[in-house]
Amino acid sequence: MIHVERAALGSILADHLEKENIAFSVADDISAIPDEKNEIILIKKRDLYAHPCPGTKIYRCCNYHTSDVMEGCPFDCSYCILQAYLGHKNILVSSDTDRIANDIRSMSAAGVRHRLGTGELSDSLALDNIFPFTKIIIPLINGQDTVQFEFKTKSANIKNLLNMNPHNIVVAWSLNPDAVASAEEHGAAPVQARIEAARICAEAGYRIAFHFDPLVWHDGWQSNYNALLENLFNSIPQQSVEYISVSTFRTTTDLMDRMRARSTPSALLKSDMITGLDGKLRYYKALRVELLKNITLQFDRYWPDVFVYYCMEHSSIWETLKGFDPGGREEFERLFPHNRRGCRG
Amino acid sequence: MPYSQTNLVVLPVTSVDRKLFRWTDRPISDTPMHIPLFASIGDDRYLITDFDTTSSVCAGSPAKSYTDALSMSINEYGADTITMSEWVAIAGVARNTGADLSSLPMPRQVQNSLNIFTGVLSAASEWPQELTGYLDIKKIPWRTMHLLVFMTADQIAYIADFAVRTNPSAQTFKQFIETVRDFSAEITGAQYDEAEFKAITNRKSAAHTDIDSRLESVAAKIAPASVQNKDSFESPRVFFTFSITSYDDYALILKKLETAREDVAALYARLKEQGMI
Repeated sequence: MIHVERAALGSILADHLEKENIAFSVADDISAIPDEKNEIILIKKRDLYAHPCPGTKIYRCCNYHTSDVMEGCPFDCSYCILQAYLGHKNILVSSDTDRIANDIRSMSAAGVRHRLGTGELSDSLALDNIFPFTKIIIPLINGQDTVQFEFKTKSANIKNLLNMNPHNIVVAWSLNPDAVASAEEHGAAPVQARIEAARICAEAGYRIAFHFDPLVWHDGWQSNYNALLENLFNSIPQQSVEYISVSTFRTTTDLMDRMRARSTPSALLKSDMITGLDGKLRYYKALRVELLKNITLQFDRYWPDVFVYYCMEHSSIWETLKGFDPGGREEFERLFPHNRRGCRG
Repeated sequence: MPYSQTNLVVLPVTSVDRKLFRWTDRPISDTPMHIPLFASIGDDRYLITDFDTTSSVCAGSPAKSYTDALSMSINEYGADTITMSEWVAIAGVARNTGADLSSLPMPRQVQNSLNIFTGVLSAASEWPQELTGYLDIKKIPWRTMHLLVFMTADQIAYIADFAVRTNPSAQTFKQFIETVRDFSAEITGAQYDEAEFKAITNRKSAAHTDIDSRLESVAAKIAPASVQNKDSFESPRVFFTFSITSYDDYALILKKLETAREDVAALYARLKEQGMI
């Protein structure tokens, strides 16, 4: 059910609902709306702003920036940190598109080359047919040079992306083998549909990225990941790929409790976890290295020109697998193709 | 003077004696309505000793409803001090009287987690007494008990068997039931099987155990010096620690460290092989 806070009536996104005859109710008091995942609320305003991803100094962070235009996700991935991080199940959508635009303009005007995206607290495209943020954001990004914008998704909802003549736009998909996706990524598009959507977007001129995050230790993990990668290498041209992000499953004790309270216990809980230096739980280092090493070798072999990075990993693992330490946030960010090109991409 | 209505018998009390609230002293199956319920109107306090479950509590009685009466009793007793066995009895009263579990006062631990409170209370009546007895004694937190809600009858019996046989600490118990939940497909049967369980945990932590045993092997040779990695090798360092009060102590430590040379080399070779350093 879609609700529009009365104060959000007249906004671009509320008008879009009316124009497209998408049913919604007007809410005077959004706190009265049941806190369920299928209750989507267009709200007037929230304290959203483009801000750095909350990384830690201990593990290497790429200085990604996030624009929290939505909070909550229609998909129900067992491992999703939003279950524990957000204090609600509702999906809150900001109608304050002026603020979103101003954030992007401010970042661009500052002249620092940044990567910004909407995929941190939600799925960037899952609801794009209802709330078409792509149609608002892509023209803004096309008109400037410094900000590279990422739409990160597990959907195949790309209709709005076609015929947009994109510049500095990355469309990214989170991928896992079918065995993991079908057991853990409830409601998300089938893996093959995601890859097909990526292929279409590559043809439409978008830069493409993939997030292998979280890599999941499970029976048959190596052959499952290698089969997925082979599929990817055969489906997507290397020159369309902007970067690849890789990292292993990380969690908190709160999230573990929530995962155990699901009707089917997750296979992700069967592996050896330790408390990391940032207080989060992660696989024992030897397991992480094995998972990361396998996938790194595959990319080195088949897509050697693509920038592959580890999200929130220890410098010692970078040194072991890549032979160097990417350094602090700014230093790390300079490794990205967007920064190395130094011009429109 | 007793306050009496058709379906309700109450005795006025002048002071609240905690002994009044002997929830579990009277078997619920024998006399389901004899669990004391406490109620008050203004400054007057009443002990509800009996009432008929076939009718609802009448208006004008000390408590307006069974939920109300039960809530007053729980508040007077102190929701935080009620044990799980007592909660099982209270849930039984609620079930028999139609009182609403979700409206009862909750312990502070679950104040914002109604699903944990009602989930545990709904499931706990099926748990064996030896398990609830263990939960009482060890004061197991509600969040830990919530995991039991998702267990099958066999798994509950398995866990109860473990609790009775090993009388584990609260922390060990938590880890145990988490493992039972995580490996529910592999753990079969209703009797705790130590060998089977150990095989599962060993398989889970094989890489970890290998490195830990190498560290222990070094430690055994260098005592009284000690060796440890403080963070599961997240930072690739091993700490050797010793103290001396004389040069002789120092000389002894050097000699001991020398005996562990090959073990330390093997440890580092293994860490290198696993990509951990």
